[in-house]
Amino acid sequence: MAYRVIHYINQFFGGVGGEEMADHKPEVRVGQAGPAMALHAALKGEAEVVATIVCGDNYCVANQKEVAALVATTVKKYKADALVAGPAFNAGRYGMACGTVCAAIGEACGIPTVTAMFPENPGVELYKAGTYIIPAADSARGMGQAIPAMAALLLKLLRKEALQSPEAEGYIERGVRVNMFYEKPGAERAVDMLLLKLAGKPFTTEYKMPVFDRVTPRPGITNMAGATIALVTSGGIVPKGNPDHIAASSARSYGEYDIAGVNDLTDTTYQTAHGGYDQTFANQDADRVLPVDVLRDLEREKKIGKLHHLFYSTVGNGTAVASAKKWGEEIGQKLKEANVQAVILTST
Amino acid sequence: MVFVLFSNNPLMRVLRFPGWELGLTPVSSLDVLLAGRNRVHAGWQLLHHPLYGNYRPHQQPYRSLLLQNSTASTIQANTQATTQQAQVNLTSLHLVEEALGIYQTAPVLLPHQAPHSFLRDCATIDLELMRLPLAQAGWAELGLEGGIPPFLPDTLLPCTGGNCEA
Amino acid sequence: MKLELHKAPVRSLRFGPQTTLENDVLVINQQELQALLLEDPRLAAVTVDLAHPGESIRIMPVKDAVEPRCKLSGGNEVFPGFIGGVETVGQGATFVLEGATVLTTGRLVAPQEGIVDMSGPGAAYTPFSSTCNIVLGLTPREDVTLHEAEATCRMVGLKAAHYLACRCKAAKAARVEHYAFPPLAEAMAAHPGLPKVAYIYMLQSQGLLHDTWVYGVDAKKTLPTLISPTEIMDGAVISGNCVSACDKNNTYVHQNNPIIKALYARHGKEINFVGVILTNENVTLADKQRSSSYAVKLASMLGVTAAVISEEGFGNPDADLVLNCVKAESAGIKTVLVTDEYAGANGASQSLADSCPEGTAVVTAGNANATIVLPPMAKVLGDPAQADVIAGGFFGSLRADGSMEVELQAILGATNELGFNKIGAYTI
Repeated sequence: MAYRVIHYINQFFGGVGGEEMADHKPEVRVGQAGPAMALHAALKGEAEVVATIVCGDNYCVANQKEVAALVATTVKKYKADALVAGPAFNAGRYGMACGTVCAAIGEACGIPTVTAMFPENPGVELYKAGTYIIPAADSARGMGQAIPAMAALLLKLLRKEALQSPEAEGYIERGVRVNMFYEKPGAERAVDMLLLKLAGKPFTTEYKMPVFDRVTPRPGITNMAGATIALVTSGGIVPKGNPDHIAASSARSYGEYDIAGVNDLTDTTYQTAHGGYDQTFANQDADRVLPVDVLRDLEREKKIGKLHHLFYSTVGNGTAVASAKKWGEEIGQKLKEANVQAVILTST
Repeated sequence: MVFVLFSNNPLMRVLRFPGWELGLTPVSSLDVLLAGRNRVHAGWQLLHHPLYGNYRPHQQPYRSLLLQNSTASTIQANTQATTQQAQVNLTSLHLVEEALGIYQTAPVLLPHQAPHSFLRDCATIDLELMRLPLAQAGWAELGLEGGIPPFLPDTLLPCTGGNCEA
Repeated sequence: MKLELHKAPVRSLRFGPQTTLENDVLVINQQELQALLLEDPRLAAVTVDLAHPGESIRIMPVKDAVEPRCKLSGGNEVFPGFIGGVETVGQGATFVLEGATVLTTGRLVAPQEGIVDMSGPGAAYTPFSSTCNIVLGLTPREDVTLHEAEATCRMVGLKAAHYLACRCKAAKAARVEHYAFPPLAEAMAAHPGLPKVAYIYMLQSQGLLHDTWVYGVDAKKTLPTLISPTEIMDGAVISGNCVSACDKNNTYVHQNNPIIKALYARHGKEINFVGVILTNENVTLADKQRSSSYAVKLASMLGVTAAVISEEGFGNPDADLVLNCVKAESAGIKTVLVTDEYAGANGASQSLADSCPEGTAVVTAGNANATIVLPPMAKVLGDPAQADVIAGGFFGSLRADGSMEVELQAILGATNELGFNKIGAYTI
């Protein structure tokens, strides 16, 4: 008998509509809709997609528990053996939705779950531990590649076949440690590894120690009254209208803005570009994220020398660490050249 | 004050630590760590590792933490021991943050969740594991002359966030 | 130093009128053994039970495991500072009852110690499901302090192991293993062209129930020191570590240290194994700094180019492991670390409490948080109520039908950090 699969997709791929329909409530359709048809075909009769759940991305992200509960009920009703979601490609909220649904169902129902997304989709970092994510292209052009890969991994999971390494199986490493029995006792493996390391030959560690980019803090400033202080934020504060088009998530750039003569950020002059938190309070008064008003007070009170006339801003919401590191170095260099003594970094 | 001892172990309250600052309130083990973390930010340094060697947060409801004022440092615990006043000791900060990372993501056993016999043993072991740091800080086992004192468990105070120094 | 291990196999155990070894069967005079152990006035009661591989028996909570050994020649006795005097061991000949283990059980404190299942799914995780076990149920008198109770139980295990070996030492050994550890001057000149390798052997030393003893000295009160591997085989290092069953080094695994065995196997062929450096894992940061510097200094004085470093325990000792690794690597000594992991029941948490970029070569003994259901056994030796408070078990882990859901942490030797087992872990 064929395995039974439920497929979760968003409003766009379900044919409901685009961004304007992102609040669409989840609906269960019997059989296959949208990408579920291609998945159904790729499963080649060994498994079948018995139902498709279509849900708006905003609705899912805002009502994660409710949507997960509905998917769990559907899994039980249809006696499903597995759940597939996406591919979400590089759509941030769709990635979050696929990730949260897969992780929740895997935990609640104990069935295999598979999704697919672009490796830099913020959903990857958040949910890779809780589900299997196939790396996909950044747009729907990659559908033809993603679906067969998802089907192949899903069938292996359904057959309860032992999985090889993530590289061999073609999914994004989940970072989950699983016990196994090796051929040799640990002591012999240790000496084998030592001999390889001594000979300068390649060896594979059994546990990769996490490497953290630690920065030793500079000594404290002794004369604050003479210091130039700069503001830098990943909270997305930008001049009204977001002139540099800093992206709401997975930012591709940062902005540099002149605040000479600006004493207060107001709802008519500044806003946030950040899409990962409730913007209401930041848009009402951007000083809440980038405290220009308070620093001007300190400047007047001669508690600090002065506030640097430029501030730097980007969005931390799913932004690649490599980009953030590169921008951080650039911004640091600029501040150093401008003789800034200290920086206040604000996040959200 | 040169030393501060934070602990939620009721046995510590029976003992005497002349001249030390004490924060011995019946809070959670996580709160003890947070109180220590706050002192590290104020320039104090840990005298011992903030994690146990064989217990996880759900296996030992008590935690004690002994810190030394860096400006009065006599025990150079770290290669990075600071000389300037109130500079943060980075080794201490690193260790206490790593420990908090574990306590904040794992289930933490609260004293009232464990049976009485379990508590008495846990309190005794916490004290035993603190003997070396206490001794290195010059404590003369005051109050321990007659062996481990009688044990009376506490009611947990509703206190979180590390503001438990009172 | 030269040591011969005369190994007589034990394939079965039974009680009989005289303690002796007959055709690989260890016959034990139960009353004599009991009477000997009860000579210790701090003990109220002792029971002796037998457990064989494959039997439906659960033993818990196990405090220590000890292999029966005694000296045939070479002066002094095994377990120096406890059974033997404090003079040097590791020379001459030592008799070994291979395949037999003394397991001590009894309540000291909660939470405590580990499980040995002689059959079923749990048996695959403990080395002691494949040995014939003499199980001592120990009840210290109520008026002894915790320190004394621990010391008593520790001593009783050593005493029983020594007694069994002594009574059988006339038996012919099936196999004699030869180990030599030359004087340093010779060792340094031997095997030119082969890289010199040391073993940095970390011992848990944090306080009561977390201690290790070297020649009878509390390891927390020692500076790192050089020791001959043959001394280890004669029980120079014994365990007083009673918590975290999976990754504490019991006396048996010290006596049979598999890293020493693996280094000897390559000695003279691919490496020149020149030394074992004992170091401790004290709680204070000053001691951690001092011991790691001192241990690495000893390795540098030996002129080694590489070292295996093994940890005991987790959490706090992760810092010692990292310090030893960083200092050795920066002294130009290549390292391989042996540890285990606490990555959470789902395997997704950070495995160690500390890490370093220098730790590029790590052997893991597995994730101790992985859970397992142990079915009920026909017979339980020890105290099943301990499951509720066993380290690694959680409250209510003992089910009404006698089965238990526990983490591997509760199983004796399951994630042994001397690399005793084949278990490991990988990332999915």
